[in-house]
Amino acid sequence: MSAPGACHGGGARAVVATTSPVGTASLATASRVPSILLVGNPNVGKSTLFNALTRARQRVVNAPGTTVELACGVWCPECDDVTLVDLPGTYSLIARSPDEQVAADAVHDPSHDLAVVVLDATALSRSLYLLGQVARAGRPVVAALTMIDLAEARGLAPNAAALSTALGVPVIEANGRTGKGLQELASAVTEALKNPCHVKGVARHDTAGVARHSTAGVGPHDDADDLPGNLTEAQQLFDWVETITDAAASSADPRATLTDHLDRVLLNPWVGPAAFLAVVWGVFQLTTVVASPLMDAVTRTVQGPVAGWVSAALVAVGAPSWFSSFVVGGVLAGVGTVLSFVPLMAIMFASVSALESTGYLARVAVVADRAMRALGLDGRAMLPLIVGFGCNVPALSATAVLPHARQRLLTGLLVPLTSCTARLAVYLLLAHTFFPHSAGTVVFGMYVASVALVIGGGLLARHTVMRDLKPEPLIIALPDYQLPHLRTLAIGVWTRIASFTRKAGSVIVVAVMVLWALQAIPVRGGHDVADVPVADSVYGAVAQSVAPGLAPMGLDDWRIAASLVAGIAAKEVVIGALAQSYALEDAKGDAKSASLGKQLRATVERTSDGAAGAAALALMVFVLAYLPCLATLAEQRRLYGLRWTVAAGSAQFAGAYGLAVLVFQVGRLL
Amino acid sequence: MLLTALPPGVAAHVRAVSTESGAVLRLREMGLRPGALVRMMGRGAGGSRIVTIGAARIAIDGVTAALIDVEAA
Repeated sequence: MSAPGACHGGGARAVVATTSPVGTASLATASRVPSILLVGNPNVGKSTLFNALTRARQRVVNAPGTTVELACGVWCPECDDVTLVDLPGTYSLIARSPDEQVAADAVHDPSHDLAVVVLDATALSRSLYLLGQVARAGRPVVAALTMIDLAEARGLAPNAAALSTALGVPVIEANGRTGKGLQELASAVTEALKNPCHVKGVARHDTAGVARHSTAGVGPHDDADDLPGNLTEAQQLFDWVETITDAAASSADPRATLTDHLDRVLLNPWVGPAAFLAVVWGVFQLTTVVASPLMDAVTRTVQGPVAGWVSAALVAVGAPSWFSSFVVGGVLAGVGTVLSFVPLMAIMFASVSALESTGYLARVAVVADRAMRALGLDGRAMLPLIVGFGCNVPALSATAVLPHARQRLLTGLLVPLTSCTARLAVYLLLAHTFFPHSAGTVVFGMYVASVALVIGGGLLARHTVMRDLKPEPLIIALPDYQLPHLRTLAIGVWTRIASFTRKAGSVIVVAVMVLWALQAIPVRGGHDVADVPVADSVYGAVAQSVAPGLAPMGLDDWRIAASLVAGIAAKEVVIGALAQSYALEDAKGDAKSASLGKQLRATVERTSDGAAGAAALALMVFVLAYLPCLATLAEQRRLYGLRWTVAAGSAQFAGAYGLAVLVFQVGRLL
Repeated sequence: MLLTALPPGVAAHVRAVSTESGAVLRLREMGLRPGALVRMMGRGAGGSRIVTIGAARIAIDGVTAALIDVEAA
């Protein structure tokens, strides 16, 4: 195992893991590139600073043995590369969540050469406490003072020079948005690597002594753990912090700013929840209005001109027909599905990142706190659930913001009930096909249904398998509102999309290729491989055996059954599988020119005895809830074990089936 | 008085937090230490309280805020 905060493959160097004296592994590189940690409270401009320093020379990795993500990059302070690790934001090295544990472990790992501690000028006391803990761990320190403009607006800007004198380490005013102070920071870091600076007035612990807070394998602290000892140690730092703030910070009353006025509205008990719903509605309008045409354009391009060129090229080189069919119908169809999904993911990731960087997500935790408490959670659980509406897989990682394992488990089991963007693509097809005049409302209704399922599932769990769950106190800093920094936003979206195409994309492509193979292998009729009617293929045979089970929801059709089976691999495959089934029939001359939507409508009209709308709604509800994708299941198994994953998946499937049957049976009567 | 009873705009010094849970440490780490001057900004959604300590704004859920004893400044 390598060090918390260690960058695997950051930059172009070979990275070698070695074991350190504290039991965690340490980072070393072939040429011993210095390793610098970027440490700070949440929302202090740390990631903006990281992006400004490393630009595109960065990647996201998981901290070893955890689902906590770290950004690692290569920085060239003064022409000698260093590895820069952007640790998760934390208020303290006495960890209360997996994210904080990763930060604490990294700071206590002696293989890192230096810590750049980011001090928030608007919350200096809180930042100095963390700096004191870093100094106590024995790390040499350079401080970067951010948010100066916001502190000035409140009339409370600290004096950086006085702060530097009091601390005994360089304090550089830095702004990742404007680039101000970055050169000075580079010079200070270069100098500190040669002549390490230690903070004055804080007794350094040796690493082994401090590691009791951070030994690998020990989770975040529970309430009863060492509380008296921790309070005593913390009090010593609080006293030290006071001497520093007395020397360098203003004690004037803060002036009210725009943030205070906005908070009166956005945190208002009545307006706040309505504003939150409006923001969520706006995000999903953005995905339906903007992403849908982009998805269509990508799909048309891949299935049209690109497929034509590839087919022609394969014919020209004399490739056998089965191979051409495999490349076009399997590989290219899979790649096309992944590419068509990228605009949706990009818009959703950009929206969530923008909300976070404006400071609004912290308010969401406050606004949603009461609702989450009904489920035994606190407002912080809203964040992974919101991320789940983008993609369930990163949402499971985001459960790390919760401090206790049972909270993380419950939230992680609810995440698959949040309707990810992959499911949105299915809703869009069905809504436009069956409800062309109210497609937007129907799609919005599916998101309302998803929220209802999360609440219902949470309440059910709270009163059955999670009766012992107690909500944690919500104590959260509210940063000043800021406009999102576009470059930081763009780098973040790009990094996440690249990660998605690598991880989920490969699963999707393989799934579509397997589908092609199942459709190409005949089980009856004496057909050749890759020249078989779908109904006579393995795929058709399996689907035909499953289809009668869908009759109670008005969907007794083998193509629909097959697409749902395929959708377990990845929900974005559902449409691809439907299209593939109909397209293969086209090749045999059936329903030649009808679009997928028209063919699907004709099918559902038949299977539902004329109640196509009710059956379509039932299908949407089933797709919403029946099972998460393979990538989500794999991540759940990794985080919570096979037993919970199987139990939750089984319960979800049974619930989805019951709901879909109910929707159809009630809907057909209306 | 309890923090939950502090009217908007009024400042007070923290006297004590009446719980032995780990929340005490996190409250202190966030600046809510005995003697600290806090100013009530108002009541948020779900019964939470929004306070400032210096230029820093903190939101505290209603149950936890009711554990904090303050004295008007």
